[in-house]
Amino acid sequence: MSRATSRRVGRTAGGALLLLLAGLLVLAVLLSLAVGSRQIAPGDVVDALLHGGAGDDAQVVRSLRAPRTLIGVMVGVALAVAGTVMQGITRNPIAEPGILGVSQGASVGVVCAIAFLGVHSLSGYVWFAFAGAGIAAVAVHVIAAGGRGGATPVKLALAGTAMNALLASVVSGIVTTDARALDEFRFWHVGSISGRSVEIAGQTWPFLLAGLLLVAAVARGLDALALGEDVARGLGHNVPLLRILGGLGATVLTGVAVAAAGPIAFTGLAVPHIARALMGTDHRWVLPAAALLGPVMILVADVLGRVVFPPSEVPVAVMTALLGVPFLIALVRRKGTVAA
Amino acid sequence: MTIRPSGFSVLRAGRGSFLLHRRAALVATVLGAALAVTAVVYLCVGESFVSPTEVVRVLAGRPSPDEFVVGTLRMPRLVVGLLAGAAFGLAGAFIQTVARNPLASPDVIGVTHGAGAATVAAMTFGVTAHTALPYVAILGGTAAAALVYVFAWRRGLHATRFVLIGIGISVALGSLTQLFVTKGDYLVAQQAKVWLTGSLNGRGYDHAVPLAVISLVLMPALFWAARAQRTVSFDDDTATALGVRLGRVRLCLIVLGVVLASVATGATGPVDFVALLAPQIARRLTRTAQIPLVGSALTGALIMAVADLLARKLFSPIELPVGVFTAAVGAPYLMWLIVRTRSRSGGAA
Amino acid sequence: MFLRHRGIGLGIGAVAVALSLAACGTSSGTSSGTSADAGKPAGEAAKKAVAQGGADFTTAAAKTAAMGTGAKPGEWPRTLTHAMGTTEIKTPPKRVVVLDVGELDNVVSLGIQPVGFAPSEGSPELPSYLKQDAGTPKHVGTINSLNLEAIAGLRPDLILGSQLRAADQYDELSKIAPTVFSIRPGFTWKENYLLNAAALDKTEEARAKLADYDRAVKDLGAKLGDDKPVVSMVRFLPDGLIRLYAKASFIGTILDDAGVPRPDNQNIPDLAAEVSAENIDQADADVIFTGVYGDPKATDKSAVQGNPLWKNLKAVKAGHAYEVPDETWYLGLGVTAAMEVVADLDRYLTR
Repeated sequence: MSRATSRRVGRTAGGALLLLLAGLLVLAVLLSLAVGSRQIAPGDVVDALLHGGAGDDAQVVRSLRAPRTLIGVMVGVALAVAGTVMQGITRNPIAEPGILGVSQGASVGVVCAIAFLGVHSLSGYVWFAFAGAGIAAVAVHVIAAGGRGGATPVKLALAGTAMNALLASVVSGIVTTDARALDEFRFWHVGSISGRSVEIAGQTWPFLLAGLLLVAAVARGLDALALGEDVARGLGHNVPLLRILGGLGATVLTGVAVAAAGPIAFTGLAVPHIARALMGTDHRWVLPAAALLGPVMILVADVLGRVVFPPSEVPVAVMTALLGVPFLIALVRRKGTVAA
Repeated sequence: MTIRPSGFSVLRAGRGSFLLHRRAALVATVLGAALAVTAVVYLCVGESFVSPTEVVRVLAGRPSPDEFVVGTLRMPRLVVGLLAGAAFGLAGAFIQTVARNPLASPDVIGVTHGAGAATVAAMTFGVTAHTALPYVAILGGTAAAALVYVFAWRRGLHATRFVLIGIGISVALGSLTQLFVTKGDYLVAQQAKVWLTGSLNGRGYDHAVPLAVISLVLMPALFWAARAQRTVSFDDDTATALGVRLGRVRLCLIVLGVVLASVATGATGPVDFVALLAPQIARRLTRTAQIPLVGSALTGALIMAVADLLARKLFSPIELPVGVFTAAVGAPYLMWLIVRTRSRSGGAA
Repeated sequence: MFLRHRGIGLGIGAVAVALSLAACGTSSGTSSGTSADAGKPAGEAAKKAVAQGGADFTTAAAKTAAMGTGAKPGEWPRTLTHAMGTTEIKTPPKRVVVLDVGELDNVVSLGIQPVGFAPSEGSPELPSYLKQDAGTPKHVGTINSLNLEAIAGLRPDLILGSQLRAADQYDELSKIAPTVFSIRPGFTWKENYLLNAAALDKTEEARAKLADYDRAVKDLGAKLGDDKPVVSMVRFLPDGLIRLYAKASFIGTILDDAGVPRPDNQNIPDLAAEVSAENIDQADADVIFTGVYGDPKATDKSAVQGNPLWKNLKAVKAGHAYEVPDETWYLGLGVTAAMEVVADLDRYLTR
């Protein structure tokens, strides 16, 4: 990101790569449907999906693994695209909903909606997730951009860390004084895609779509912005509007992902970088690639979480963090990220 | 060394001599007095109020009807809080001195999370003795710091990279902690969760003993560090000209800081931001360029005592974890530090 | 740049290793010293063994049964042997503090209203089945985070608890008032009851209550005849945990007393077996009783029960899956809860 050169992928090569990623996603979906604490042969999985069947194995695949996989795909798309946009509009390689405290802001919004207002449906509290995510995002950015030097990666990360710590202390205060809230919150404290019903998926997609449309509208502008604010302005882009629309898109995507699954970090960090490494800098190629890779990361992490300590399951957010941190380290060690 | 800057007096004791900063000495005296007052208030206040005269009687070892509440229940807890607070303060002072950056506090660079993850792992595998846990915490904290160091090394150690890697490693260790809680027996998991909130409730002299022992063992090292710290705060060229081997001195100071932060975490659970706040406040009070050690230790102890006093009393009878208060003050302070950062990204952030 | 030598990293690593060796030395040193003094470290070691199962898991009941007092009814002061040693109680206790639900049930069933009670983290209120007779005991923290000052402030003359839960704080507690600890809560509930009753000089009443229970549970067994249904116990806990309660649990002992058969996977000398939502068909039997610890929304209950796998279970299809109150069946650890459970069992199994 810090290199202001543009690198483009050819139309044929890009198409082929996207097809390859789509194939990877299909594999990840099949893996997520086939692996679990219950042993089901891959053939039976496919059979259950294509021909139905009322056997126990078929029911497990259809009623437990399918909704979980569907939500994993949606959350993966939302987080990866949100991360790509955040890195684009902040021109910052480590911008990501989790590290910047945006996810935590959204989850505090959800907790408050549940604890104080008695809102219990996703379509009800998703608005509080948006509000929480938006406030946290703006606050972190204002803090990091303050002082001379603007929002450098380390200042953003530190502001995010401080925000996470502050929100954690607020939540800790709430749950210690109200023991009942503790159990409600546990659900939101650690991101997980297990135990979510098909209805959650049904309530998630309209917001996901809205967020993706907002992002699609600014895709070209992100390319220009990557070359610098002046260049973007010179190319006729309204930079503040671009940032507002992009930020709104990222906030909606983060908020809906948190409302569906709780805070999940590092997917929004790692995936955009891999997507850019594959596709170059053109966001019209990078965004679809990220949208295909995000679900792959979530589903693979979730499958790993199911198999490490059977029959207990490790929440997907724990696994994405363990998978994502080596990536962050590699990124930080890479020349140019922090030397600024 | 014969340099004697203004504002210092030379204190001679036998063959050794110390440069004594007069304002620093004054600040230390004031902090000490504030600490004494806070300690008495701490011992007076609780489920039932004990009059200061009774508290003094108990402290003097005279028989008193409140001996049990003050001497057996409140006192050990206060002692653990003061020792841990002082250890956090010193840890922050050492690490911030070496890094020349307030943001590189033990909370940020993975020490606290490393100590936490190791302790919860030990609990999961059935180690619950107070006598063993502090050492497990030191091990975890030191290992985490070493890990951050190794990953952040790239032709030298850049403060920015160090902090970013520290944040990353902290998140990974937090996830690892979660993993252990998932794996652990439900009963152990519940106890681990209580420990992880960072609280002084139920802390007694068994928790204070390892803290005190390690502090005593480290005492000579601290005297050495007080002198070494001054050389480290010179810039590299000056120090090299003076013939000081900076690398080794810095290593020792960092290790001291890491060990102190880890052992304090082992006793209290993760209590965030004391190590960040204490040296900063102390330095503003003494108005010295370099972070005052005694001041940092006293400020750390004061922060812990006040925070725990609030934690016990504010929502009584419900007790809040002490970390809630340190984070509620420390996180905004960290934000403020970020806002007023001067340099672009090199030395300071 | 603030450090310029790679060797420093290795140095830190070396210190870590050195400290680990020191830690090993220290910890093994303390544990070898524990057998000598019967104080706190020994309690810790014992607590560990109990929590993890092992030999103590099967012998805890017998060990608890051997505790108690040799004093005659009405004889004060009396000396009690219990899990942490011996304790002298000078006068009949009037102000009792209970540190767990089991002890609460025990003293309330003996007609004593405790002055203090430490609830579990998941259910902060007084269990509703004891509310009427328990009076208004003051909260003294939670089971895992006791507020010793609150306990001391109540000026109790007896504290009842268990080694498993509160061994760490026994020293302080015993300075506040005579403190009597059972080894553990749970399947040893009858033995714990008699131990608590001995401290209160109410052994006769306790025996009578246990005899009532025995009669009721034997009656139930007789009523069910020779062809008893196989009963499966499912409990949903937070964080997606699903447990099938086995023999070494409170409910396990009651079903055992009634002679009710259990599925093979629950016929084990352990507290419970864990299953995942995907394997919920392993919970099948003739009858299923489900409970929920804490807030149902924090558990996988609705996800499991809303799914066809659950609906395909033999017991569910036959309409023999019942939701039962968690506070008596699973959280309950005393004779009052046991009597309620037997009444519930009677209602559900003989309809």
